[in-house]
Amino acid sequence: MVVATVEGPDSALDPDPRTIMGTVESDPNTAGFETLFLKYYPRVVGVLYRLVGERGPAEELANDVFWKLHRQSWFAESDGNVGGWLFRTATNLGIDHLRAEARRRKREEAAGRYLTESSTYPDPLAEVLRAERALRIRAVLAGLKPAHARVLILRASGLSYNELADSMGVKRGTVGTMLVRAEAAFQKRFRRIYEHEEAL
Amino acid sequence: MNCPKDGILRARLDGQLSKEESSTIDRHLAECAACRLKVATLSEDGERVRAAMATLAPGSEEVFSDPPLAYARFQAQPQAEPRLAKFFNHVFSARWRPAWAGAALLAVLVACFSFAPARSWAQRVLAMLRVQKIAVVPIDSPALEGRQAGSEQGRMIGQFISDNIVVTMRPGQPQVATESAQASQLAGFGVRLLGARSDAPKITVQGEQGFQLTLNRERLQGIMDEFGRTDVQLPSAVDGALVAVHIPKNVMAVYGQCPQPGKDSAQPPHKPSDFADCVMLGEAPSPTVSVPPELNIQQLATLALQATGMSAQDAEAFCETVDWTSTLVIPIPRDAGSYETTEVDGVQGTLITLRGWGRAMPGYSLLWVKGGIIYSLTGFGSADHAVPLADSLE
Repeated sequence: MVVATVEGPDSALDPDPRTIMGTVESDPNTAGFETLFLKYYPRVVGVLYRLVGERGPAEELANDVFWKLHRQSWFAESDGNVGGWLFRTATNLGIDHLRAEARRRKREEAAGRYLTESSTYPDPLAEVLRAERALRIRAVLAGLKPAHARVLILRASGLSYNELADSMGVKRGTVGTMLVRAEAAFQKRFRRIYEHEEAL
Repeated sequence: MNCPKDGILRARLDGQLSKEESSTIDRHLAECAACRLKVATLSEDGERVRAAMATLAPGSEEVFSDPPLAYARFQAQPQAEPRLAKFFNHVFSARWRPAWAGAALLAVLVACFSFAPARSWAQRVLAMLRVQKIAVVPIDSPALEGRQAGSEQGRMIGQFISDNIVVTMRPGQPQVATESAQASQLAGFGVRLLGARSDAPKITVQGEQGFQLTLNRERLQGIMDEFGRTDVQLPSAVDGALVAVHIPKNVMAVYGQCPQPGKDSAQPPHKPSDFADCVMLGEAPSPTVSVPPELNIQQLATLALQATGMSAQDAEAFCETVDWTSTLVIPIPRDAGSYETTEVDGVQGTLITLRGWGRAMPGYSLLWVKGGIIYSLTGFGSADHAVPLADSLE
């Protein structure tokens, strides 16, 4: 069974529904796209690295993010809110990846196969501890509501309140409240899981 | 002033308030010990979380690709775009966007699809849903019309789809056929053409497509919430459910001068008379949707219709009348057109007449299912020609 419907072209739905359905050849302004790519790529990779913790996957996911943008036709006419869309898409992909990794690790740990990866850092012990802590923080993020994880990761990536508002699709005035709630949720969850092992 | 909310204090700490706002808050803080204490707590909490999050930042030894290098790599990848659900555009013409994105896609997601945890999905025998008939449901669309939030809903759904879909079979370029025998051979089923038209149609055969969609309850519920339906609760088993859709090869025959799909924005507005001789005939074997057998489609369809703005009672009443495993349900906005059932090609069909709606031109679409093939006949202007034309299929 399939459900579909009809529409007049006036609707301001965004992204273009034809693009959602994949029925339109995207015809973005190539120069515009390249500019956007060069401008946002470093920050998008930065956001994704924080979430996935490895350069390779972070770059692959960043590539996917821009690929998704490339498929959209609305961005060519958009009024500069492409950044919000990019950061939102990046966090969605990153959080999904993080959750999948968390499930995989859990399975592997259960089977006793998960080993800490070897390190090439000058101070291996410090690096192992840092990596362990980063792993825990990502595990906590993976368990938060996506909106909470997103606002924390984007704020840590240096986005301003204006940019956060764009990325979250909320009013600027509510960003502070979202941050406070997300921080509270993060601390609560961290303490619940790790209270006997590590202070936050 | 009253004590400011935590979020405002947070913004003050982050230096994200305007000068005036900051000085208002500072004056209050000078007088209010409780708020000073609150600020101190917020500051500590914020700092703790900031330090934790800083652990995740890439170290100086992490060297990322230069943006220009990354861009070169981006451009070098194969440009195979997933062309999902081309089927929709065939059943409905270029102009009739299969969209109204919100309701339709949400309906596709929620109504058709499945509800068992993904891990058990693979081991189960799947239920296959096939279209055998067509029904229309008129819906009011207060949640979608004339309000800015509509774009956020559309965007959320688009994002959901692009994040959760895996294309398993790509259709490739459509193949062109010059006559029905060739089209039949390419498509793998008997293609029929309009005997009442003497001009030669442009015939294209679209390849097979497949995609899988993994459902994420939290995000779907978020979309429901965005539609203002916080009262609609999705079953928890939705989470992680995997749904597979297979769309067989299908055929489109275009007669006369018709609008070009996807190019309407680049063209000047058209009058219906520009396309007076345009008729688009689509022929598509039923797509199949594989879902876990324990799926309660009727329940989900009811939820989907509620998402489009229908009351729970009306949605239930409608769903009672439909066999959801075999019916292609087409919601049309109540004010966009009308529909009637009619005899066509020896079976019951549905004739949808669209008023000009927004910039859309008036027209019709006649839909029916015969011998496992879904037919659609779409044209502009008067719907009176639809049935005689369809009856001339040979």
